Amino acid sequence: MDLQFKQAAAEEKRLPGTSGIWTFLFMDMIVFFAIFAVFASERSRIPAVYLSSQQQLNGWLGLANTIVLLTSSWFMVRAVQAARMNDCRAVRVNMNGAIAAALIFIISKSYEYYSKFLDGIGFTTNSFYSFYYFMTIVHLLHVIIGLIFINSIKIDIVKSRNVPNLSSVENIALFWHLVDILWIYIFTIVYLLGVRG
Amino acid sequence: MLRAPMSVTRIWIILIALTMVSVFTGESRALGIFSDPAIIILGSLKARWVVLDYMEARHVPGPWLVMFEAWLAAVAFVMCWIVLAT
Repeated sequence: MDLQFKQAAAEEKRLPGTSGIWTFLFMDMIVFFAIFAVFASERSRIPAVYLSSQQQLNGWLGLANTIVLLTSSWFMVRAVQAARMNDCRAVRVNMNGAIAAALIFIISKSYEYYSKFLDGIGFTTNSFYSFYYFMTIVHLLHVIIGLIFINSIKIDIVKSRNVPNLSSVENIALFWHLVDILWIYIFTIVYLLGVRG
Repeated sequence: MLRAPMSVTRIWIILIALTMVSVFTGESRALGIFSDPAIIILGSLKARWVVLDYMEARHVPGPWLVMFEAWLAAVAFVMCWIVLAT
């Protein structure tokens, strides 16, 4: 009983993924923190411009995107759990779910950019939209990069009918969760905060 | 002391529910001057939940949990700054 407890405790203290991915994620978080801080500074300088621009955004589309990414993260958690049990089929199914959700997110963001483009709103329209496009496009690049890695890891697992490297599955899942966290904050800061009804 | 982790599906349902509440609060401004503080709290809770339970940072060894918690607090501070400056 005591041995089981010690084994469970040791498992709980294990670092998922590699230490390198945690360092990478933290650096990425620092970069986004800096972007958020500069956004706040600029917003405090010209709040009226930010407020009127913010009101042109579609909060419901943002809600849909958030639900899609949260669902994608849920699939990745389940993929990691399946990988730890070497259940290749469940890994494949859950990674396919994460990929499908990511594709929906990309299509949705593309539609949002296109509708803004039709309204004549671009990168240089004003300071708010410079931040809006910069933040969301950098985030979208994270989604696309994550999507490519998830797909390539899934293909490796399907080909080998095994989970050859658990750390790679955990690493991409950790990256994917960070993509989710960054979107939670982008959505809150850019779409929701400070809007006056 | 060991504690059974909440199921990932239950966490997902809570995250979706919190998202819907935050959007409803943001769009309707139903809470008046408390709308923005509520949105900040909901956003911070969601991000912290993902860090602790999806990234499994709750029990990671070393300084990672402290660093991630500090980052979450720093972003919450930035969000407060946005609201106070509006």
